[in-house]
Amino acid sequence: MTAEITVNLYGGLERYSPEGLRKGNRVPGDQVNTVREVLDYFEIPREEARIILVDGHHASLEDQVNPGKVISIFPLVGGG
Amino acid sequence: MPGWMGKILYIDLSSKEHQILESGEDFYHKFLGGRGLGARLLFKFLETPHTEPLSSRNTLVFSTGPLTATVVPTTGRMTLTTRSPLTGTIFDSNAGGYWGPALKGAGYDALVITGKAETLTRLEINENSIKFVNCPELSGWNNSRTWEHLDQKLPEYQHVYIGPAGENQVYFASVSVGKNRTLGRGGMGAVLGSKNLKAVSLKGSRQPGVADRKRTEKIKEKSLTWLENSPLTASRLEEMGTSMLVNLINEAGVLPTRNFQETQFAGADSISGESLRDRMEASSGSCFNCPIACARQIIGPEGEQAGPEYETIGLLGSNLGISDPELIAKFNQLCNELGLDTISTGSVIACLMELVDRGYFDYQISFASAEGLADLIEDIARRRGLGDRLARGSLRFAREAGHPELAMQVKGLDIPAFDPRGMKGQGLGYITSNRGACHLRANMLNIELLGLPERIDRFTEEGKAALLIQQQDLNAILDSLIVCKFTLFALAEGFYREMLEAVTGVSFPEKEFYAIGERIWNLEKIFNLAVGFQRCDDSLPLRFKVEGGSGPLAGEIVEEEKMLEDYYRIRGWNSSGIPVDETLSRLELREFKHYFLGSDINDS
Repeated sequence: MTAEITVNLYGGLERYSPEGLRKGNRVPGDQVNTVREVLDYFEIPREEARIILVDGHHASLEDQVNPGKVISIFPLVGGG
Repeated sequence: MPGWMGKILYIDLSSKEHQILESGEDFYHKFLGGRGLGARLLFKFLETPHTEPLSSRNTLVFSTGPLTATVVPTTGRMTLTTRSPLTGTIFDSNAGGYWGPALKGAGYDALVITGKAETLTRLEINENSIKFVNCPELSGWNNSRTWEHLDQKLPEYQHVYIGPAGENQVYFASVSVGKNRTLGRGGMGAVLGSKNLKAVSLKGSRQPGVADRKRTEKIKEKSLTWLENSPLTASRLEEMGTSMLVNLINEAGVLPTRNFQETQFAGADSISGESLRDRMEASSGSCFNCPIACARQIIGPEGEQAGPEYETIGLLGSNLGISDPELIAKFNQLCNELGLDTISTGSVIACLMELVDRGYFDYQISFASAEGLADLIEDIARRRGLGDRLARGSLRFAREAGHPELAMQVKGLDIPAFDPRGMKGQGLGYITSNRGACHLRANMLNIELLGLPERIDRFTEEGKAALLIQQQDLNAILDSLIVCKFTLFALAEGFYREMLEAVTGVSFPEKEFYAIGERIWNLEKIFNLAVGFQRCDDSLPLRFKVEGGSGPLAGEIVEEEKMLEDYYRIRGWNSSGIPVDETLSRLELREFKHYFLGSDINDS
């Protein structure tokens, strides 16, 4: 079994999940190396992915992603 | 005097007398309106800052700003300023709706109320008259019943009113504004209750003058375009309301869970904005002249009710270990009906749960269980049994139980749903806020988590003081104009100064404009110094300084001393947190120095 990366798509971005899943989308670890490739994998336009967290830490498009990591992607959100 | 009405109505409930006072331009130019004017008028009308918050001599200042009731978007807001029973500090809260424009409609920038009525009373105020109406029959009425009654009896009026929690002087009782807006924090409802004041109803058709109509209209159009072009203010706030934050805050590891013992919650997604949107039928609502329409109405078992806001989901949900959105909606509705601040209600219950969990207090309650919670909330509002003790807030309750460190508060005000260990600037904001732990005094959420306008490292203490001060001063201005903070998601800061100049016709050079915010901040600080607050009160509960949180917050603590040093220095305060003479002179506040002389050594 290939180690996987977990991807959460929040705030409406779940529409880019093939299964329509908000939490727990899986991507085989050998298919993506960077955050940018995760976006491409789900065909999420860059401008829609406004906040990206890798294991809870803000990440940028070129950051590496390794199997076992959890990536959470958000559109522009606000409130408080 | 375009923008302002130039008149202040002063009412003494004890003598049933009133006066109409005029204030000079200088007064308005230095403090604008809303929060700034509220603080200034509180100093003017309160005999001494030491006045007991729930005594008849405490004073309520309702105020509007120079932009209130103009065509500028989101200008339906009003402010209430008083001394808080929960914190003992000066305290202001602002809310949207339609009451603010009605106060100006009646011809006043501010309404000052002091004294105490003999029996439960409501006020009816219009352009020509002020009526004191005894209303003992409304005693104990829930908020929706009171609103329906007032709306039916006086359909042309706008109303603020209190529920049972306010009447019973719960230290964190809220004040309702119109059908579903709220002055939530700090127990202002208790101050109305202590005066036997159930409601204030207003109507009037006057309008503030506008100095430059063409320029104002242009700015209105420009800001509407910006608001419509931002996905947040154009649609997302309307679709999901503030609850859209839950998943982000949880993934970032700053969602309070089980009285802040943890900072991530396994059930977060089930109480998120996305889940609420999917599970509950909802509609949106807006305040006066507002295109954002962030208010969510959901269909509950008893018909339409206000949907839970982000803070409520955090404090009555994850922080109690509760993951059922229907339950949170139910507790939210109960708090709204009784007139309780949902943040402090959740916080005092979480504090009780932890005390019980650790064996420090004997009671049948536990995290993650909703059993008995609805009754307990009702008991708080009615001051029955244990509810009577909880009604004085988490700090007093935890102190009585011998463990003040388990109350998650600063200066008695309960910490909102952003854990400071993963947002150090937010933490400094809680520590230094003049009304206690508050997320609305500065928009560090935007900077530290949302990346607006650009993201900075949320985990570092470095450089946060300067950023925070800038935000605090800006927000003091927004709270005084008064415009909604959500406009900050779409509008550049320069807009606000333009709006003020166009409406009032007064020139506010940039430096002077920002000095207004700083002046207001320092005036509030002087009030707190006068009543005895010291540097040691500018501090977070122990937990945040010695224990890490969950996930990305593992091992993260707040090192507040260094941030505080920076903060005081940049503010122009000495190491005890007291404004030095030069600061007072620069801000034209020297006349207030006698208030805190002798409260500490001023080494300026």
